Amino acid sequence: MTRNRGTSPTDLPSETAVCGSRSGRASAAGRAIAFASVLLAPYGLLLLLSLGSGWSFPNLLPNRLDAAPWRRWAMDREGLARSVATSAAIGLAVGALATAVGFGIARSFRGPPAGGWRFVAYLPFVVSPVVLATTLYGPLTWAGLAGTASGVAAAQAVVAIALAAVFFSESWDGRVERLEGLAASLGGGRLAVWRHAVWPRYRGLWLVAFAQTALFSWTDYGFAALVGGGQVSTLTVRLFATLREANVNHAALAALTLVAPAACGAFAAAFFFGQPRQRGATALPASVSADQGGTPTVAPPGYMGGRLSVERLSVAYGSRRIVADATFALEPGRTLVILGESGCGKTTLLRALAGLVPVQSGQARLDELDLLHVPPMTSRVLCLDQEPLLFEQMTVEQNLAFAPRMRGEPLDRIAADVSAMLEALGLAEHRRKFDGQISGGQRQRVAFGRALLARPRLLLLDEPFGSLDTQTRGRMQTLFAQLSRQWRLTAVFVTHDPKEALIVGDSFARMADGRLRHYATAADFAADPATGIPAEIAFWRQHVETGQPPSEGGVDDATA
Amino acid sequence: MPRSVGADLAGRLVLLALVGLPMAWSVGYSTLYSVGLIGRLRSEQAAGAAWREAFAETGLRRTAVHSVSVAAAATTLAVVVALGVALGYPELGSTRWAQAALGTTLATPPAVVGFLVLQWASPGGCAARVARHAGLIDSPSDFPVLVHDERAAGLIAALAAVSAPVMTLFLLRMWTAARIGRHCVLAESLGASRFQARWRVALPMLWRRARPLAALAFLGNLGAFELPLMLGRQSPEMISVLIQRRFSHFDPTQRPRAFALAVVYWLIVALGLALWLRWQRAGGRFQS
Repeated sequence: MTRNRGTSPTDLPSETAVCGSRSGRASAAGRAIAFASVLLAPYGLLLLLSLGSGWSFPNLLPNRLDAAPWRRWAMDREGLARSVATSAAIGLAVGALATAVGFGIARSFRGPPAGGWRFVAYLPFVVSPVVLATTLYGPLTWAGLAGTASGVAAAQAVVAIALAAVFFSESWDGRVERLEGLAASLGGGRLAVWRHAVWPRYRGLWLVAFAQTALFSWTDYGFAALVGGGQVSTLTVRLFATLREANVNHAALAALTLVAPAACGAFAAAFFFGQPRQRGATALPASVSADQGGTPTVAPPGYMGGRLSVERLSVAYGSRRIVADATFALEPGRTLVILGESGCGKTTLLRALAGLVPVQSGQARLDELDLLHVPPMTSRVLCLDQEPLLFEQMTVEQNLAFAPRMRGEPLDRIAADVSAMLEALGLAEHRRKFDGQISGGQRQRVAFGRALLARPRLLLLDEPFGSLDTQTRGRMQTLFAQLSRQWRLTAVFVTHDPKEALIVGDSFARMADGRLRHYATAADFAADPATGIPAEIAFWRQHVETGQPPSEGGVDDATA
Repeated sequence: MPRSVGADLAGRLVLLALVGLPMAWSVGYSTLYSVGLIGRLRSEQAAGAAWREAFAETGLRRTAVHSVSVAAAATTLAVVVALGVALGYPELGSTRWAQAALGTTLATPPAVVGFLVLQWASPGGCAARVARHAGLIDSPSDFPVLVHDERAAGLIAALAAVSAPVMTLFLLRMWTAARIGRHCVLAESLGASRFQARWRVALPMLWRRARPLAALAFLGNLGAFELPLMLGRQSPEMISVLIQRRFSHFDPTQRPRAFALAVVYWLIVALGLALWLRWQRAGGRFQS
């Protein structure tokens, strides 16, 4: 198997690095395990310390104890168990209460609270528990709760409820109301609606909110110590108490007991409930193209794309062959259009040329360059798809200037080129705007202009205008055709729209089941029934002649 | 199912009653106590005396400077570590081992982190003993003081260790959510080197997303209690520890002063939070 540049994790960031490289995945897993080991290593010390002197390295670990550690554990078991039970009871109560109340609050706001409500909800996060606990001590004493586990839980609940309310409201997507409405309209009662519609969708969020708030309670010291007043022995209070007694082994035991449930929860969440690892992530490095009619004013710089030559290129996922023996040549300054239905392999062919999927066999050369074995910087192959990807921290003109700056061109020349390109794209008045401040069509134009200023030797376009409305799409097709001829771009343009193919293309091919069929002329392409063009012509002819749309099969009859 | 105005109002009332009211009580009680209108000493002290005494304390300014510096240093360290991990190893975001380890450290109580730092970095701790066994120092007491020290090195490291996991997890998630990897590929396609792509494209994108969390972490570190209690110096001390020591002082005249400090602290964090929310609202349109 020929391994191209997309398979090397050192060449490309993670999204693309996962495309097919087993060694890349292995090294990523190795790094992850090394990273995890470094993070978890300090907990090993806790374990050693909790085991006591019998398990310590002589003179290496501090605070050696003279008594047998297991006996001390046994003596202390009752105290430790009581602390665990107290912490667990408070944590469960606070978690359950905060989750239920927090969900109710978020539901009433139907999204993140605004203005003063947001301030109220966030305030408990930043206020020191010492201040809050001390000032709440008075009313809790009056209520007879100071110095009790209930009092500690009540004080913790203030922060936990805010935590859950913010969590729910920030993740609110409005589905609860719609699900409730849908289930109610289908005849369900309130209980049935919650059981069948709301609970299945939101149980994951509830679980996370419960875990967060219960964990907050489990790990809290400020409220437990100050509101509890030494009467409530939670695990954190116990940890401090054992430290004050300089009983390091027992403190380590309490610390381990504090960490263990969290560690179990984190591992369970990551390995059993976490998202499955991404494989074969979709990752054409996107950006796109132009729009708007009118003649571009930017002068052609005498630039020309490269000569592309592809020979018997095959791509397979497992035993399934996606692209089979694709062979074609493309002269500099020409655009090859590949037409095909969804899933026929045309996008995979582009991804293979871009170096984003491993190639099974074959060759692809751009002039003298072996396209499958060079990094993106060297090959100057640009991929553009229907989703424009702008650098959000840069203005429109900074986006356009990116590639010339990377090439180290003089600033005055960059400024001139960018200004000319802005004029050509009709974006001069938007030059200082950011990604979020311009429309979808304008973003497409910026991405296209940026691609042109990168002087690509090959431009790969994957249905770049697919997400645009009909009018904008037409303008973009015209602009692409004009600029690609002016700049003499070498491009492979994938589409499923035969009209678009005829506007932008110089040569034509159709892909079906992974195989390419080439057409000698545009007329041959238009005459092939498989492209759908004859049927389209017949449809409109019949519609004009009869004033009625043809019936089922009528078009085929007419074509025949 | 139609939503009633009553249901919407009920949620707001619950938030007000269970969160807003205790907060308001906390500020109100502190203020009234500090000016001598409530509390044991209400008839014995002139109104405002506690405030004058609290601010006349010579150590207060040092405490404020110390608290802000420690919180800023710890937050900066945490942000640098998180950005370094996210930029250097973005694939960790989709690796279960890394997620589990980060989750464990994220859920570790500050008290345990403090305990670990004490065991590792205190004079005569593990690091000192290892250094002695390695022949780097003659005795554990020669090891540099990292706990309860003047530069608060241990405290800063511990606070950063508490803040860094959440930031790292957040940034790793952002790497995927904001498609930063794709932006890097694009930048490389446009002629940038791998370093340039990370430095000019990925870093600004990550930093923009990290700023709100960093500001929140700073406020959290400012009010931290357990770690400064375990690892900080007696003087100057972090603001939370100072307030708590005034509260628990055997001399009852210290309490109004403590409440005065609590009110000042309240005002600082409330102002910080208000600015943070305003900043978030202004910058919201740039977030992905």
